[in-house]
Amino acid sequence: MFQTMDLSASALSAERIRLNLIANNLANANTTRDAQGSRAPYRRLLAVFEPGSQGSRLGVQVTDIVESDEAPRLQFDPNHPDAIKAEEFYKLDAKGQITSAPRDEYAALSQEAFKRMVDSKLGYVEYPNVDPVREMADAVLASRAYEANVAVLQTTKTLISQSLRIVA
Amino acid sequence: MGLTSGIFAKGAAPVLERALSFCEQRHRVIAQNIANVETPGYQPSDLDEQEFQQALRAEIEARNSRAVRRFESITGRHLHDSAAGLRVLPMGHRAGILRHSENRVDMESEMTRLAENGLKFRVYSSLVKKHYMQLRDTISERA
Repeated sequence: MFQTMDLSASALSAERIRLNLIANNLANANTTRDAQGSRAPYRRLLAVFEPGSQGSRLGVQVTDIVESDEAPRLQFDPNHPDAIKAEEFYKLDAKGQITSAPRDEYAALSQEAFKRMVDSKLGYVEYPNVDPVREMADAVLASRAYEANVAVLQTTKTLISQSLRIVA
Repeated sequence: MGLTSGIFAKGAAPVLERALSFCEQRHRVIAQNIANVETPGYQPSDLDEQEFQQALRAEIEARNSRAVRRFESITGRHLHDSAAGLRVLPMGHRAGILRHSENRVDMESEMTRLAENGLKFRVYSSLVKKHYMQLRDTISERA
C-alpha cells in the first residue's frame, strides 16, 4: 500500500516538472537571446514521460527534458536589434557580388536562390516557438493530472487508515 | 494445528483477507494508470475481478467439501507470488479512445473504478473488523 503512495508521488513530481517547464516557456515567450546574450531564440522545453517498469519502480518518470525543434516564430520588425540583417549572410562588393562565403548549411544553394532566401528573411525577428495558447492548455492538463493524482493519494491514505483500524 | 490457528483460519476472515489483498493490488494498478495519464504510448491495465472471484469461489467450495480449515490455496499464491500471480491485463478495447499520443487512459473510468474499488476495500475491511470484534467478544464472553 505504501508503494502506491510512492507511485502517486512520482506522478505528482512529474506533473510539477511539466508545469514548471510550461511556466518557463511562457516566461520566455518573447526571449530572443540566449543566456550569453547572443541571438538565439528560446526553444520550447518539453518533458519526456515514461511509465515506470511493472516490477520495482512503478509510477511515471521524467526521463528527459528536450528542446522542441519547431521553427521559430518570425515577426517583421526591422528596427529590433535582433532582426535578421543581410551582413549576417554575405557582404557585397562594389559591383553587387557576394564576397564572403555563405554559411555551410546554404552551400548547396545557387547564388540566386541563396539571395532570394536571405531576402525573404531580412528584417524579421526570430521569436521563440512558444505558443501561449497551447502552453495554457497544457498547463490546465498538467494541473488536472496533478489533481487526479492527489485524489488517488487521498484514497490510498483512506485505505491505509481503514486497514489500520481493523486492529483498533 | 494449534488451538488458535483454527480460530483464525476458519470462517470468513481468510476470504476477506484475500479480497482485501486483491483490492489493494487493484488500487495500485489503477493508481499506475492515473499516474501515466499524460505518458505517450502508455497502455492502461487492470486486474480481472471476475477471474479473481471465480478462483476465490472455487477455493471456498474446495475448502467446504474437503473440510480443510486453511486456504492452502492458489488464491494466496495468486496474489502474492508475482510469477504465478493474477494476470495484469492490458485493457485493450475496453479502455478509452486512442488519443494522438497513443495513450488510452480514460480518466473518468479510472477515477470511477478507483472510487468503486476503494468502497469495496472499505466494505471488506469493516467486515474483517466486525469479524475480529466478534472473536474478541467471544473470548471475553461478552454478549
